[in-house]
Parts: sequence; C-alpha cells; structure tokens
Amino acid sequence: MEKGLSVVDLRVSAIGGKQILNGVTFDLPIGEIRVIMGPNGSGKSTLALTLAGSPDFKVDSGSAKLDGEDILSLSAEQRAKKGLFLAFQRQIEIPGVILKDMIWEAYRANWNGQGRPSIIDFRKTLAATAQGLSFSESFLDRAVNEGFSGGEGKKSEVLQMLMLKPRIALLDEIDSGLDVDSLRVVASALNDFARNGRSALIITHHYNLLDYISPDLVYVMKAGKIVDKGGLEIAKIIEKEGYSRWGVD
Amino acid sequence: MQSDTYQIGLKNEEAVKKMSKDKGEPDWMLKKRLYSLSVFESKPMPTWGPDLSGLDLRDLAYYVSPNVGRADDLEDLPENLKKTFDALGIPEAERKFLAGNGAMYQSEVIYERMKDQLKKQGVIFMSMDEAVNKYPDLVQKYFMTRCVPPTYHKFAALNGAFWSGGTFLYVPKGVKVEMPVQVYFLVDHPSMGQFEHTIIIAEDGASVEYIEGCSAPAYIKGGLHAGVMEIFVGKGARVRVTTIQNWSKNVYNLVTKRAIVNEEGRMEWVEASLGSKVTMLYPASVLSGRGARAEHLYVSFASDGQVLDTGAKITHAAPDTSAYVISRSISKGNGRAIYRGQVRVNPGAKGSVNSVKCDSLLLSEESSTATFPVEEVYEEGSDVSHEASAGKIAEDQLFYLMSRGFSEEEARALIVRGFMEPVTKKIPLEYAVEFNRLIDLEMKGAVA
Amino acid sequence: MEEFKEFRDRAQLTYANALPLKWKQESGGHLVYREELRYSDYPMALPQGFEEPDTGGFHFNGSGDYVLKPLLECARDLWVSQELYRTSEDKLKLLALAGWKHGYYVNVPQGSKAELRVEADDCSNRLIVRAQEASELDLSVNFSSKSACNRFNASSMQVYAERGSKVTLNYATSSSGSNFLDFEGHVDSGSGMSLSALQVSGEYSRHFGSVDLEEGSSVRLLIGDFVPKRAFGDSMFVVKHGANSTSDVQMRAAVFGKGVIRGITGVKTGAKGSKANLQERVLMVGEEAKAITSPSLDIYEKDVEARHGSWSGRIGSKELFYLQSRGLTEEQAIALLIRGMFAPFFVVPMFSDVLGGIINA
Repeated sequence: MEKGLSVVDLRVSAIGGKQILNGVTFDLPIGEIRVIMGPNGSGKSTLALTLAGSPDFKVDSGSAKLDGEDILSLSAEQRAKKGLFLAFQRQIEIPGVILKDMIWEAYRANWNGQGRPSIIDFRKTLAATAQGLSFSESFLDRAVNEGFSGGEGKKSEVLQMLMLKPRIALLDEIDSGLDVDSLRVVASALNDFARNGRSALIITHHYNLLDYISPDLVYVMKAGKIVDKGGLEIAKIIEKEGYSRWGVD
Repeated sequence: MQSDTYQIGLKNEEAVKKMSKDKGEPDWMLKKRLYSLSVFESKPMPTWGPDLSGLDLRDLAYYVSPNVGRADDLEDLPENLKKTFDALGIPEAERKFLAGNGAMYQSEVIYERMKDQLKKQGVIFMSMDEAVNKYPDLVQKYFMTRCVPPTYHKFAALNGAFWSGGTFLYVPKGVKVEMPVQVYFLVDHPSMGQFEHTIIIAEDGASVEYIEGCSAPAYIKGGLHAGVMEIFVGKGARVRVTTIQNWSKNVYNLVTKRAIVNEEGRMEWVEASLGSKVTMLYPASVLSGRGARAEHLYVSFASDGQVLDTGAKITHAAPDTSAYVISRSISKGNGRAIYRGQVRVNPGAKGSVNSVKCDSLLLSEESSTATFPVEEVYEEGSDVSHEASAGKIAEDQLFYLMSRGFSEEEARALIVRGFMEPVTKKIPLEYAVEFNRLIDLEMKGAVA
Repeated sequence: MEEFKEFRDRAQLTYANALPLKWKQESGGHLVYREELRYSDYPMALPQGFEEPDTGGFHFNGSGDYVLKPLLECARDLWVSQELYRTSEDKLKLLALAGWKHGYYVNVPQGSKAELRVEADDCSNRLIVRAQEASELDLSVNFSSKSACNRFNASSMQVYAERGSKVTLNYATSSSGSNFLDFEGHVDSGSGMSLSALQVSGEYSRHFGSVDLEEGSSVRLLIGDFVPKRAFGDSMFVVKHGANSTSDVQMRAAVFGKGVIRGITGVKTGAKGSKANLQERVLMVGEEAKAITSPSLDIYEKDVEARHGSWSGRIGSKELFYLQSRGLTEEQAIALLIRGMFAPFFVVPMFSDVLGGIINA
C-alpha cells in the first residue's frame, strides 16, 4: 500500500520500563476511517503517542511508514509537518501559552498554500470552526488546556485538527468526556474531515462514537497486539460481551 | 561582634598535643589536629547569620581529663531545666546525670547492646577514639579528607583540632542493617565545648539508619557544641540520619554535617531542633553520581531567646539527580526560626530535579521567621523549584477543634503537632513520642 | 542651582570613596558573591555640569491635570528638595541619585487625574513623581528609546503615591552596555500602585526596586527580565509591608545568558494583616543559560499571610512534545512560551515594541 500509514510488527517499551507493544501491525489507507478498540492497558495510547514521536517511549523493533517513508527516525515536529496529527487523550496544560496563539503559530508552520497565510482569514476560520463545534470562543483566549473540562479539552483537539488539516489524524479516546450533543458534533466533523485525501484512526474503548460514524475497518487490540479485525459488527460484539472473546487478560 | 581573628596562643597547641598523646593517637591524627588548629586560628568569624557575639572562644577548656573541673551542685541548674525534669518525670539520680555529674559520660559515647549483632554482620560501630586506634588506615582514608576538610569553615577546623568522642560507623558492601543504630551523647563539664566527630560509611549497596540525640535537655554552662558529621554513601547505598537536638538554652550549636552521595545512592536527613540558644545547622548533600538522591526533612521549634538557623545545602554534580527538602518551623515568644538554603546545579547535571518547601508558623506577637534561599542553576536541563509560606494558626482551624471540645491551648498544641507531622512521622516512635511531649510542654510554657 | 552644584561637589567625594554594592547572599557558610561589573567600568566621577535649566533629555505627551518641571527649577520646593538631595552608600545608586543628566518632577495635584507618556532622549535620567492625595496617575516611561545609552546609563525614578491615590506605572529599560535602573515606590495609606517594568539586559544590567507600603495600601508588581545570550541581568525588588497592606509580585525572566532574580518580602513588627505573595519564574534557554534565584521572606509579625515560590528550568518535555506534534520547532515552541510568559506586558504598546523584536531574534 503506497499512500497512508503502515505499521508493521511494532514493539515498544516505556523508557526505563517494560515492553508495552508486542508486535502491532495495521494499515490506514488514505480516505478511510479505521478504529482500534481495546480494553484499558492494551497499549492503545502508547501506540498513538509513539507514532506521534513521544519522548517517553522507545521503539524496540518494527516499522511505521507514512506514504512509504519511514517516520520512526523523524522528530515529532517533522512527523507533524509530514501530515500526522495526534489528538491527545491526556490534556497537557501549558500555562501562559494562549490557545489561539498556538493554533496560529502551528497554522503558519504547516502552511502549504500560496504565499503567506493571512491572520484575518485565519481568525475568521477559527471563529467559524469553533462555533461549528459549539466550542466557546472564550476558551480560545485561555492558556492551552488550563482549566478545561474533559469535553472542552477534546473539542480543543478537534478544533486544532480541523484548522491544521493533517493527512493522518490519530484520535486517542476522542469520545470520552463528551455529552451526546458534543459527540454528534464531533462525529459530524470527523466524517466531513475524512475522505478527500485524509484519514482518521479512532482509538477508543467505548462504542459511543461509532453510532455516528461508519468505520471502514475495526481492529481489536489486546495486551500490546492487534488480535482481530472486522466490520462494525465486531464493535457491537465488544459492546455486548466485552473483550473476553479474545482471551482473558 | 568578635574580632576577625583569634590569637589563642600556644596554650591550645599544647592542649592538642597533650590530648593526642593521652589518647594514644597515631602521628597522622596529631598532624591533622595541629593543621586544623592553624586553620581555625586563621579563619575569621562568619559575618553572616545569627549573632555569635556571646560566644567567647577564649574561655573554653577544650580538653578535660575525667577528674578535673566537675560539674557543680544540682542547685546550680537553671529553673527551667528543673521544671522540665519534673514534667518529664525524670528521677533525681538521672537529673544529676543529665546535669553533668555522671562520671562515665565524659565526652564519650553510650552504646546499645546491639553492638554484638552488628559485629556479626561485619559492621564496625564504635567510638571515634577507639576507631582511630583499632582501624587507623580506614579512618585515615575518610577523616576530614574529601567530605569535611578542616578548611570547610572555622568551626569545622575547631572540631578538627579538639574533637573527642563521636561515632565511627562502617557498613560493608551489600549489608543492610535492620535496626536503627542509636547513640546518645551528653556533655559533662559546664564550660566544655562538645566536639564530637562522627563518620558514617555505607559501602555499595549497604543500608543503615543512625539516630542521635536525646529529647531531654542536655546542659552545658556557657557552652559550645561544634560537632562534625561526615557521611559517605556508596553506589546504590542508603543512609538515613535522624538527629533530635535539645541542648539547654545557653548552648551555641554550630554543627557541620555533609554527605557525599554516589551513583544511585540515597541520603536522608531528619533533623528535629528544639534546644540551644543559637543553632546554625546546614546539612549538605553532594549528589556526585548519576541518579543520586537526597531528602532533607527539618522541624524546628524556636522559643524565647532562641535563634534556630537551619537549611539544606544541596549540590547536583551529576545528571539525573534529585533532592527535596521539607522544612517546618515554629516560632514562639521572641524566638526566631530561619531557613537558609542553597541549591546548586552544576553545568552538565542534566535532568536534575530539586524542590524545597518551607513553611513557618508564628505563635506569638514577638515571634519572627525568615527564609533566605538561593538557587544557582547552571544547567538549563534541570527543574528547580522553591515554595515557602509564613503565618499564624488559622482561626477557622482553632474554631473547628474547639467546637469538638478541645480547649484553646489543646487545640493549638494539636495544630502545631499536625504542622510538624510530615517530618515527625519519619522519626522512630519512641523518640517521636518524647519529642511531641516536649513540644506540648513548650506550648504550655512550662519550660518558659 | 548653586545649591545643587555644591551638593554634587560634596557627592563627588562620597562617590569616589563609595564601593559598588556587592551582593553577598550568605547561606550555610558559603558566600555567594556576585559583582559582575568591574570597578574600572564605572564612570570616574559624577558628571560635571549641565545647562540651566535643563530642558532636554525627555519628550512627553500627556493629558489631564499635572505639573511637569525640570528638577532644578523646583529645587526650592520643600518637598522636592528633600528628595533631590538624597545620597546613598551604594556607588551605583549614588550615581543615579546625584549624577543624573536630566531630571524632571511630575506632580499630580489633589484629586486630579493625569496620563503621561515619557520617552528618554538621552541617558542618566531622574524622575521624581508625586501623586497627591486622591489623585490618579497613569505614567509610562521608556528609559531607553535612544541607543545613545549603550555605554553607561544610570537612571532612577522615585514615585510617591500619597493617601488614597492610585498610580499605574509602566516602564522599560534596555541597553547593550551597562545599564542601571533604580526604582523607589512609596505607597501611602489607602493607596494602590500597579507597576509593570521590563528590562532587556545587555552586557551588565541592574534593575533594583523597593516599595514601601503604608497601612492599608497595596502594590502589584510585574517585573520582567529578558536576558539575551552573553548578557547579564540582575533584577531585585524589595517590598516592605505596613499594617493591612497587600503585595502581589510576579518576577519573570527568559534567560539565555546569565540572570539573577531576587524578590524580597519584609514584614515588620506591627504590620498586622499583611498579605504577601511573590512568584519568580525563570525560563532557561540554551546551554549557556545560568540563573540564580533567591526569593526571601523576613517576617517579624505573626498576623500575616505570606508566601512565595520560584521555579527555574527549561521547557518541559511533555509541553515541548505537544507543541512539536503541532509542527512547531523547538525554537518556535520556546518563543511561544516566552510570549506567554511576558503576555501581560504586551498589553502596553511600549513593551510590545521592545519585546517583539527581541523574541523573534
């Protein structure tokens, strides 16, 4: 597969700790929405963080390629410039750094269009996008994630994704902490976003979001490995029975 | 304020020579004493810190042989001490002992029966005087060499010249000493300075806990306590030193304590300061190997007429080292409690983390406190933070306890105990109980 | 004028014998001694003469009700003379108090309101400001708008906020050479002072300030220090509390070179009900960055609520990763962080001009 994200037999340990990913293999072709589901502790977040380039993990072996090019040897910021985006599960507060300033800087850094980006256009788009997500504008003037509730933190991530328009979006537990209305809004944004030359990988352990999204493929992850894949029916099974079908933890 | 240098004269050199001869010390120790004496005489008094003008360094009998200049009548004891002994239920005979009449306790060390157990593990635990004679090579390697050299400061040099007593504790590789090693020290002659010198060595992988001090007040008339403690923590070793200090309120307590901590080693200081007229105490940890750690826990209670000036001196001299300091001080009457700390992160000590938290509680109108920390960070890849607070007992806390039936006095005592808890919980139970009782007595004003 | 010449002649003698203030932060037997400016770098003597009356040095624009006069014109005024003829034992402070080239007196009459923008055209300025009872003053001073100050600049400002007045101050100082700025704030009963001061350090920059709080007064301080590579910046502010007074001091520094940040809170006996908060935050950037922080508390009154905190270090790895995952380089991430740290300064146009260029460098 030429275009998209391709991960083969990835083994990852925490720095100074034990192995968490024991050989993860999956694909994310361009234009698709795929889902990875797994119980707590299966290593889902580690997978997302490692792909984004987190300094807390070490790749022991395996490969990860974006459009056929290795990304594991690139820094976090180089991967972002290649079109990879991670919506973090754990909110990271950055006191003093105002959200809208940060998004503007990132927007400029990732600008691929003609000439230089216009701050006026940016501001208009930002306001409109925030409104579309029912994300209060007052949060844009606050420091990144400072005092944000879980739901607001998630919306802030989705807002950034929509503004930066990455090619591959990794969304770690984007649905937790969101109420029904917010869930619908985020799902609709994701549906619009994906396709047209972009992909999204949704990492979750609930079913909630999948009521509103039709993934192309669902992977099941357990104990640091992908153990199964299938259609939406797999997600339904997980909802009813949990993960026992794939062995006890 | 005293003049800058002291001309003490030949008399001291003779005293040092006599002392060394009487103790039967090897030549290298005499040389060390004489060198220390010359350093002491050439260094000026410190120009910072509490007022030391009441300290008369000319009038001290540095070495007293067992039968000369015994302590006086029990009647000479200050009123407050008598009251304390009453309150603590200390019998007559022991009072004589604590007042300095016990012949056996002449600048010497009292041992617990654990000595035999330790011997079996290969642990050396004996008085410093004995160790100089029994293990001269071992002692010479460590005595005032890398850790606290005589040039460290004036009172370290004084100790180097006139030291007597103290502990030598050596724990071999990998040996973990289960029970804390305890030592009492007391002072006899009223005009004598207490210059004990303790060395603790924990070889790689060893672990030991050492407790010194006594909650009952130890009395010296017009005294000076200039003790030195040198600690060597080997790779992956662990040493904890707990000191409970309750010198009578006429003593100048100018102590030097320093530990060199190797790779992955861990040093823990627990200091409870209750007595003395003036205390200057700055335990130092030098984190010289990767991953070395230190923990400094202090609690001090400064009553009327006292100035307790304590702090932590921490040097991060290797990467991935970490240290934290918790200091809780209480000032009562016109007592003054000061935190004077220094943290230094050397260039190259990447990944160093240091955090200091000091809190002060002021109980009376005339009480005062100060914090003078300095953080010198010469390595960008480090994280150094410091927090401090000062204030009085919160009214709402008092009200809450009183509404549960406690008298105001009892409520205050409870709150003060709670305030000290983060540190006192690390003190072994029997000492902690005594210590808390003493605090209660101080709070009640029973010991003025 | 004559009197002042005599005063300065006498001061010459004091200056010649005065020693530079050496900071001896003494802790645990270790003298931490900091004296970065060599004795030989100081001017040999106080400046000799000046034009009478001195009308250069600053340009202003303002509105509202205020009086603005060259210092020497008001030397006969009792109030001004008390301030004018002060000396100090500290060589640098003496230089600022007695060796200024251009001096002005600003007086806001009782109950009036005034707004004043001052730009220095030359070095070594002195401003004596008096906001009288129940007045309101919004004053902003740029001590370094001209690069002529890059050799040696010793300026000072003494501000008196009298009973019930409200004073808002902003000032900036920057230099590539030796720069010294001394600030004194005296906040009278029931008055409030809010100060934002920014120093961009050069080879040797010293920014010292002290604020005396009378009963029931309050002060808010925001002290910023930007220390480029190979620069040395020393910021020290002392706040002394009276009864029922409140202080909130934020000291922030972005240090690429060597920075010293000291905040001192003093509460004397009888200053009941004082509330003090001091926070120092130093972001270190680059291998050569060195920072010395020393937040101190000296409390002689039990009825207080005093706290302080300080932090020095570099950008956290998690925060850096987050920003990098948005495509920002480490430099861009740090620039963002610094912008955030100095954000309160950007509200004032004067500061954003001074800072904006620097941060992008």
